[in-house]
Amino acid sequence: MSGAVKNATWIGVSVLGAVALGIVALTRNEPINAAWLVIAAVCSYLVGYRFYSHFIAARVLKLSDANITPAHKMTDGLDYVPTNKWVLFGHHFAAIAGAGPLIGPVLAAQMGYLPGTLWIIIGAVFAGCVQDFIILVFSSRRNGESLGAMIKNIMGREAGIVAQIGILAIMVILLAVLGLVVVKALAASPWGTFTVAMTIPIALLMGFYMRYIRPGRVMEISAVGIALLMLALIGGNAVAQDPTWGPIFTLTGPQLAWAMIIYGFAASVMPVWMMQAPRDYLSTFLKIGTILGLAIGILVTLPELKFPAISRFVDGTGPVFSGSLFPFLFITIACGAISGFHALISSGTTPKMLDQEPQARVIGYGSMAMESFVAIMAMTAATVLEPGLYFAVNSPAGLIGTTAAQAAQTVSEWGFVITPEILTQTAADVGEASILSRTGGAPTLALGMAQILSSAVGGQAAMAFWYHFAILFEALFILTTLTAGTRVARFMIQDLLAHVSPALGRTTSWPGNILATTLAVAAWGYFLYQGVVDPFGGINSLWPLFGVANQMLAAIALTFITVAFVKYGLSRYVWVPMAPLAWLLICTITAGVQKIWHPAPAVGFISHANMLDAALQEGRVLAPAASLEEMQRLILNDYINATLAAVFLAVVLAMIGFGIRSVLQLRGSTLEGEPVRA
Amino acid sequence: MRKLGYEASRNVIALMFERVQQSARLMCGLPDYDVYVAHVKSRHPGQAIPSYEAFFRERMEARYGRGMSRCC
Repeated sequence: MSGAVKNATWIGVSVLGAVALGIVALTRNEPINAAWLVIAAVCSYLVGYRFYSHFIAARVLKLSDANITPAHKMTDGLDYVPTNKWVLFGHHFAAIAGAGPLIGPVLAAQMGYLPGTLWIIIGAVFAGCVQDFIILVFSSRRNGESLGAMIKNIMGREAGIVAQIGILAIMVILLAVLGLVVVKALAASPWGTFTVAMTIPIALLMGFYMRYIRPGRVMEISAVGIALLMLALIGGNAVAQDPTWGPIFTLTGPQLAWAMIIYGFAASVMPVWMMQAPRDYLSTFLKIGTILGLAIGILVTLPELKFPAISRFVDGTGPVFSGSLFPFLFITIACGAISGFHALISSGTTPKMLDQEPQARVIGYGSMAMESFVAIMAMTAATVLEPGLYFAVNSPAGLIGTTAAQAAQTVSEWGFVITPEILTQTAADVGEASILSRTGGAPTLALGMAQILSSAVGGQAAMAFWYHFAILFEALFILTTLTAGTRVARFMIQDLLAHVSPALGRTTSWPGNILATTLAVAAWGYFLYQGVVDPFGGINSLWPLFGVANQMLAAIALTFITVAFVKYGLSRYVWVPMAPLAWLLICTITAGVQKIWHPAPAVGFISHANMLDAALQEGRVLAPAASLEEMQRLILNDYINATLAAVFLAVVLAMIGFGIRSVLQLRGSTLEGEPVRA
Repeated sequence: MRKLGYEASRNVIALMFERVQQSARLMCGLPDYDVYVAHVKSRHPGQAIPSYEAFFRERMEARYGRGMSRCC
């Protein structure tokens, strides 16, 4: 293309994006088409990629083919392998895409589609993509070092240890909250529980096949595994209807929580080939397939959004999660806008496979833009639903009651008119006994996906299949994360145990293994169980805590980038990481402080504890407690949650302190314009 | 676009298929075995070349052995 044509194209993309953003932002009281969300997002990513990432690549980091990547310098054919740009793009995207970008936007939809959509787009372009991209480049220049190692080597040993503790704490709350999402989706749902349970024998079969029958034939057995999974999905309905088998797979929340705790323990002490690896194959391929399917579904059907642009719940009284738009929207949607976890991935296997340094731009910045688009699709899937239906699905039973009539009345009183008939009919359409209070985002996403996909393929009859397909996908993915995460936590704990007893720290030590795994499972299991039995709490109060944790990790990564900019003589451009860092710090610290001390009991843990305590003094029992002893336990829960929030705050503040210390030490020791080399 | 002959388009499709497969394997932590073999032959001549099965087991342990931090 000639220069003039190129310029005209980019002006066209920018204008189109601006018009679409304008329509998304300014339309009120009339439904808009999902196409505008898609166009606004895609044009913003294209413009951000073309101009901002180019600026960072060419002017700030000066990416160059002359900087030999670790894949060439340290090539070993295993970890360090120069890899085709698009193959590596696929690998990196598969590693960063998870359940998070699909769930956060669904929860944020309670405030309307506009606030979440804007944060997803703007956050990705200026924060998330930038973080992933720069961490990838720095890790590549430092021979593929991990984030933890880079923090230790550049910001000092103490900073490294504090970051490690932060990562362990995030892990615990992440696993608990993701587990809660699965429990909420599967409780009293025999169809869903059966298909998810079937993933265990299918994974075992795959594991043994790859170990003993045809070792290492990943593709063929994965195809068989997915076919079996689809059979289980179709057969699930018959199992659920069966008078003997139906009740066996109809489990309550606490039963499911225990099942997951036992599964989590077993799967993480088993050899990896038996359970962990085959599950990972299944969930990776199912995830890529689902994302592609959803994208095609949305593009083919171009549904209308039934949600208002902005709902009354921006004031913080929403039933899905408690807390006002600022700061809670910005921590509710983490993955999709900016996710600290990506910093771990960008400094993991990807930098070791980079063929040429300039390719970090499309792999780092580009993959995150695509992940952000997944979040836009999740927002679309949630907001094509009737708002009344959405709130009936996402409000805790403590607020809307347990019958369709009560729920319809309460939700209609909030201003989102819905009839009990629609609620029961929707449940019947998707093959469930009830869809009330299925909080946690996965069932809502499943309903939205079922609506979109069934209008593309299969019509009304396919609703139930697509609903359970989406639930299966979410649950399979989350259970895989649970196994992997428990293992990570186990080894972190064993590292710590090694200080007490070197014997327990050895990874081959069975007592050490069992002890550390038990501690890891007990940690997330505690929060999981607490969320499951609380009719008001659960997702409502724990998701924000997870959001704080995840954004805290992003703040740590951006603090590191800032220090590294100073070290490598890039102080002139330090606003690139510092602008998103400042915003994240404002949001995380405000949210952390509010979760601890906010006067409203729905938001602040301490005021909630005080409310219970006041009732306890008068001898009154407040729901969900059934006795005074239970009241005392709930008060203890509140204090534990508050302590965890305080730990997150302390980690962030400590990291800022280490950051300032490093910058002061580095200033004067580096020269502006010094070659950017590690 | 430049016109491709039958042979050439078949090669392009074969290459794309190869890349997709490579991507899918790498998503599960399996790099190219052929590349690994070529590496061992050129850099460590004389060293025995591990079988695909041994390579596969080593990679699986490397990916999952210490747990992997995967994204939410």
